Amino acid sequence: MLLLLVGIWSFIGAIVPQGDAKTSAVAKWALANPVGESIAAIFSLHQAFSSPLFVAMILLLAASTMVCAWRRTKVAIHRSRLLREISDDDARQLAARPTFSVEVSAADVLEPAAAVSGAFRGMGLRVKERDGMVVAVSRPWAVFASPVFHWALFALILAIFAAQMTRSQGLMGVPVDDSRPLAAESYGLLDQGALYRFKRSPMAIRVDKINREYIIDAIDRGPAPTVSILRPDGSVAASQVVYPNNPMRYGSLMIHPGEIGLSPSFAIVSKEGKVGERLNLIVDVDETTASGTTAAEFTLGFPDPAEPVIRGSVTVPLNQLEVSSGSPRTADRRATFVLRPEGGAPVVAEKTLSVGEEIELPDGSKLRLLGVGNYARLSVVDDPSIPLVYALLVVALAAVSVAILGRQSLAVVAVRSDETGLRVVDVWFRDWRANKIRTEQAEEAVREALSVHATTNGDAE
Amino acid sequence: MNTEIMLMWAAVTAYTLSAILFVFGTVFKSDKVLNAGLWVALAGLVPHAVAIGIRWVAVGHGPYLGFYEVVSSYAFASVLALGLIAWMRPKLKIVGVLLMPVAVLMLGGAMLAPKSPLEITAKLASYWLTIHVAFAKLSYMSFIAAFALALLFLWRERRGEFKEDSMLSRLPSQAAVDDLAFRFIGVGFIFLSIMIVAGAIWANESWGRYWGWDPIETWSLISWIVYAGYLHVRLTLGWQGRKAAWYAAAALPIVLFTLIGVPVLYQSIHGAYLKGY
Ligand code: HEM
Repeated sequence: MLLLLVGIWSFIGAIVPQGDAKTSAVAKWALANPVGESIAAIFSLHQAFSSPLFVAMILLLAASTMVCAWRRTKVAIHRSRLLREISDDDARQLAARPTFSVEVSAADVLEPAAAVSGAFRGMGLRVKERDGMVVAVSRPWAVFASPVFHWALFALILAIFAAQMTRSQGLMGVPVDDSRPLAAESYGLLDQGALYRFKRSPMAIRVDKINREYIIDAIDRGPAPTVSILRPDGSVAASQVVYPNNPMRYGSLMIHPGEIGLSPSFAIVSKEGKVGERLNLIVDVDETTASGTTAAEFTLGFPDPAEPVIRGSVTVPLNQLEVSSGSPRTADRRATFVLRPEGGAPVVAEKTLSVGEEIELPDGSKLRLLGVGNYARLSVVDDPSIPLVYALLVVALAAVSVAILGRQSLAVVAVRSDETGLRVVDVWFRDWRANKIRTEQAEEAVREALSVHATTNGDAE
Repeated sequence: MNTEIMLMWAAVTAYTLSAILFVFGTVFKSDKVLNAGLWVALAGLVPHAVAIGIRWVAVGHGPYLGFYEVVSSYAFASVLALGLIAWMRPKLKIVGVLLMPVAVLMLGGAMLAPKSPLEITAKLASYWLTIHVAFAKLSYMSFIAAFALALLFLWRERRGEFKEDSMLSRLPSQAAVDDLAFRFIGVGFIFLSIMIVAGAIWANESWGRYWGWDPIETWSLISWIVYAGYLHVRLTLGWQGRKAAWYAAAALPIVLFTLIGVPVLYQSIHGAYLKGY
């Protein structure tokens, strides 16, 4: 039932575009379906897979999986007990209400019990003969596959749910030759789980270079950044080229490559000519802007508190061809700076600089363009739950396979003589997977072993 | 016309002939004609397999990129499903009357589609692709087989007095057909599970997340739930026979929608296998 609900919900989630109201697909859909939109708003269907209703449904699903797993466990214990150590009394009781019975004359078979044993062995069952009865069983452990699967599924739902809270995932632009600490402010876009905490003295991610072409097995994997992970003391912990399907792993960190963009860098040169710290900014190719790139924002403060703080932005002018190609070269690049004081005063400067050129600032210092390089956008995921999730997936897969393919059969056979002195073989047979067909098969096998074609006279159960 | 296309047309011809033989064999209740239909269909697999192989070598990847390759491979799977059923229960080859026309339509459709190869890109180059796609095909093949058996079951039910129909009455019991459909769904479900898990692991390798509610992911989950539902109603509620057959017959369209409808209707990072990038 709940499975159905989640199914229907997923179905709705699949029909209604997902994302923020800003997403164009969502906006278009809302215009085209005003009625649908009001319903969607009530149930937050555009975030169908993170809405409270869905979460509640998943939790319910988890709960019902647990209940189901619990029931399956009890059933399995009961069945395995039957399969392993059915008592003589129970066996006798079952044989007393046979699923089918076969009459044998002495001439047909001397040892009906042995013949029937052979038939069940032929069906792949294990046979125990005792006290005039034959008990044939499938492997008892197979009955536990179903509960194991359901428990694994339950654990999986919980693990994935917990993983959402203990993982962080985001995009981080890192200029070549520069590094960014693993801290919230380094990310351009960050999705941080409620329980996820960044470390106090974090590792850092450095991009050493960008391999424009990176050909392996005749397929170009580039542009592929070479990425290093730095320990808090600055030493290199790991380093490799990352490209699609070849992410970098370090502990619970996983780093995938994203787009490559431009990185203009500048420094402030003091009146005395001292060059300050190099600042690397990042801009992306963007065909909707006049310059061809997005603008990177920065602020400049001055030692003299009387000077207002300056807000600056920088773009890199590109020509049409470069915009459409998407990956402009970095040599001989210029960058356009717009500087305006905080508080609405007129623009201090708007100027396009070549590398090495400067803009004079109000306090007499200068802003100097040091160069235009590349940056690599990396997708950085920190998710310690992955091994657990994978392990549960493997357990669930193995268990569901055994649950579906494994046999669960029990047969009890007793031989008696009827009033006329004829011997009758009573067979109680049960298969918990495909009862009807296996009962048919069992009867066929037993009759063949006894080489008789008498009519069935018992049809109990 | 190059060798590959010539072989493909040979397969189309064989499948068409086989479909006609199956229809005649069924209408005129001739086991001999049905047998001929089966052998012609199986013979058609040979040029079809060789053509797929030639293209595999030429484009450097298996038959999973582009409408032509994908649909042709599912036509192949349908004929293979027929072969499998006939091998397990020779009399049930009669499902060819359902499967072969479908295979002809699919392969014909594939022949009309553009055949320019799609390249394996860096984004696709992973051995998880092989696992993912192989199990996708295996699971779809199983579901197609179960679907055909379910229809056969329902057809015989409809005939009601099928005991008097010499053709249908010589087939294995309804219980056996029902059981075979169940077994195909069982293994198909296992393959589907492996396919989804392999897809999820690959998504984590490739995109850094194992599940993101991408339309195809959502729809695969729906397919999985649909067949999980089948197994549940069967094993816990004891649905067998007619009800189970209706279920199996209704389930396949949902799965096919996941395979073909989703990449066509949605803008998805996952649609490359039908539309290219
Ligand atoms: C009915 C369900 C599915 C089918 C038929 C299917 C089939 C395919 C095929 C043929 C490809 C190769 C071509 C392509 O890029 O599209 C592929 C790729 C892929 N699949 Fe699936 N898949 C299914 C479900 C899933 C699921 C549930 C996941 C993950 C949770 C997944 C993850 C992936 C990934 C990561 C790729 C690589 C695509 C890329 O990087 O462009 N797939 N799938």
